[in-house]
Amino acid sequence: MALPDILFYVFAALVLLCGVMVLLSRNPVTSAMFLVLTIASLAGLFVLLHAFFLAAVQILVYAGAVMVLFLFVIMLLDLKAEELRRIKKFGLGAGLVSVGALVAIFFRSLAHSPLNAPRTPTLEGATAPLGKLLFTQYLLPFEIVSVLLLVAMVGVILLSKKDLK
Amino acid sequence: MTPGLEHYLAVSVLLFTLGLFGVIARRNVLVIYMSLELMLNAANLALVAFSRYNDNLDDRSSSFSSSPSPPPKSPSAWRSSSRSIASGRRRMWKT
Repeated sequence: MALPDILFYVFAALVLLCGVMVLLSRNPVTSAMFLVLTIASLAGLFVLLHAFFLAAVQILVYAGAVMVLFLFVIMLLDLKAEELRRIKKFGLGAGLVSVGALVAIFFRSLAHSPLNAPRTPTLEGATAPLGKLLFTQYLLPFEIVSVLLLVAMVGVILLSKKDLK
Repeated sequence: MTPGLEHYLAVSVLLFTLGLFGVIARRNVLVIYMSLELMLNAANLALVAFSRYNDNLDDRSSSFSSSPSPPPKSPSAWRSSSRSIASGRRRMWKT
């Protein structure tokens, strides 16, 4: 077993373990910290998939920016009252049913139709071809995403202002 | 056993179901948003794995466009606790 294979299992276990801890921890700050760990080990999986640029973006954007925003929101809101009842009783049943259904669908479809993927992939995740693709073929979606971010920003400003004029 | 596409997809699906369970079962709004982030990340992992094993960059570029998802702030979350936010803002502006 080569080193990347072992690393895959380590990172996959870390991702799932920290994901479970995000859901189970009582304190939202602890959840946020475990989310950072999940995202960092997911970046490790991206490196194993040779998506180096995406791994760097994952660390910078998620573990950096999004986490700071989460912690700011936790700081602004007072969440003490909700700590006692953290899981809805109805939600527990519905969640377990939907999770079981999704996992069953995935494994059944995988068993019925194999993916025929090559065992030794050759694609290298260089940044230059990715950028070229983003700015030629996928230019329109790229620009639409930027417009979407602008809309979100304007919406937040509108919502946080109580009385215009 | 050398991990193939199926292994990555399995991790992705399990992470997605974790996020789904969190969205359905937890009652804290912020933890629900964190679970949403988990689901987005799971989708990204699946896209990157497909891109690597299907030998094209198209999937990867689409995952890039979903990667920097805007920080979670929905109007309902703000409304449900708008009073504490408003008081916090007042305090911030006073100092």
